[in-house]
Amino acid sequence: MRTQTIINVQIRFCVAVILSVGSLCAQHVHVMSAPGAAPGGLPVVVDGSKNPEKIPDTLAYQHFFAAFAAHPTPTAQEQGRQNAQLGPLQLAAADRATLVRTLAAFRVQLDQIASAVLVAGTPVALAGLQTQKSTLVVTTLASLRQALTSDGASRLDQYVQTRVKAHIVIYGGAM
Amino acid sequence: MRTSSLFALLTIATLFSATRLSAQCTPQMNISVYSDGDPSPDGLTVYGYSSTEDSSTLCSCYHSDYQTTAVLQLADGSYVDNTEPGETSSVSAPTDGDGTYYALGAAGLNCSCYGNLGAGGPSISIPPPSSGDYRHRRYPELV
Repeated sequence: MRTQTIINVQIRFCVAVILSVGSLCAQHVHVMSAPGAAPGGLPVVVDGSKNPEKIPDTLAYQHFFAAFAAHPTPTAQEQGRQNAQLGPLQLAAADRATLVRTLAAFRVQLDQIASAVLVAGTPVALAGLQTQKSTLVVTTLASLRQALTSDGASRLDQYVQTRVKAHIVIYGGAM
Repeated sequence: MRTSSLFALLTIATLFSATRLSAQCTPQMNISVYSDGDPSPDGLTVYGYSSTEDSSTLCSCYHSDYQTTAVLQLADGSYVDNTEPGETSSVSAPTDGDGTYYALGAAGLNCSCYGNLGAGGPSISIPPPSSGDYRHRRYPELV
């Protein structure tokens, strides 16, 4: 509970900095700063708005699937959110239905992995779940590309390459 | 003979320690945040959403307590936000004012080796929907 509170405070700090400075923020406590980073900050490795080509396809689709997926029986909020998200893709009705169905299946499996993460207990188990999630993304993408029309697959890819990648920031570095 | 044996032993020891050093695992953080936002097709609601992915090389470290926050900056300059445990979050608000809406996000997690980590996503201005009805009502100059 205390950890959650501390993280919450950090997120709020981060959000406050983003809002007030209008820039990217990474707060990193108890860690040495990497060269070139702000004191206490995790350095930005890739800013998708500047270098979208440096965002890996798998990572971009991973974010897209996670952010757009709704449950098979979505709440009104989930349904509204997904309707708003899917509008800009301008998919044909059949392709849209295929995408929604595939995303729902993805959500179910992602929830199972997320539950397992909560009780993973060891770094090895956690790494195994990360791999499982990456595999889920790859298989979901492969099945989507088979199920969508070529126009639908092209629109989806165009959206991920141009819009999703531009809105991703990767932080990191050796610790 | 004795000197050459000693040299051989030293060489083997050096190679062995070099191999051990290269086999050591260095934690490599790799945390990404995606934030974006969209208006509903009828233009009455804006949605902000954010997701976090952790592809770090953990070695013996352990990551837990993932939290993701989605934030909307409304046309009047006020903010609404929602923090969810896990790697995704979304937030919505009615579009009750002309002006620009922004979506942004943030992520937090606990690392057993380095403590609490936080990262912010980009701030995105939310584009108007493609529906003519919405443009007519909220962006009459575009119709």
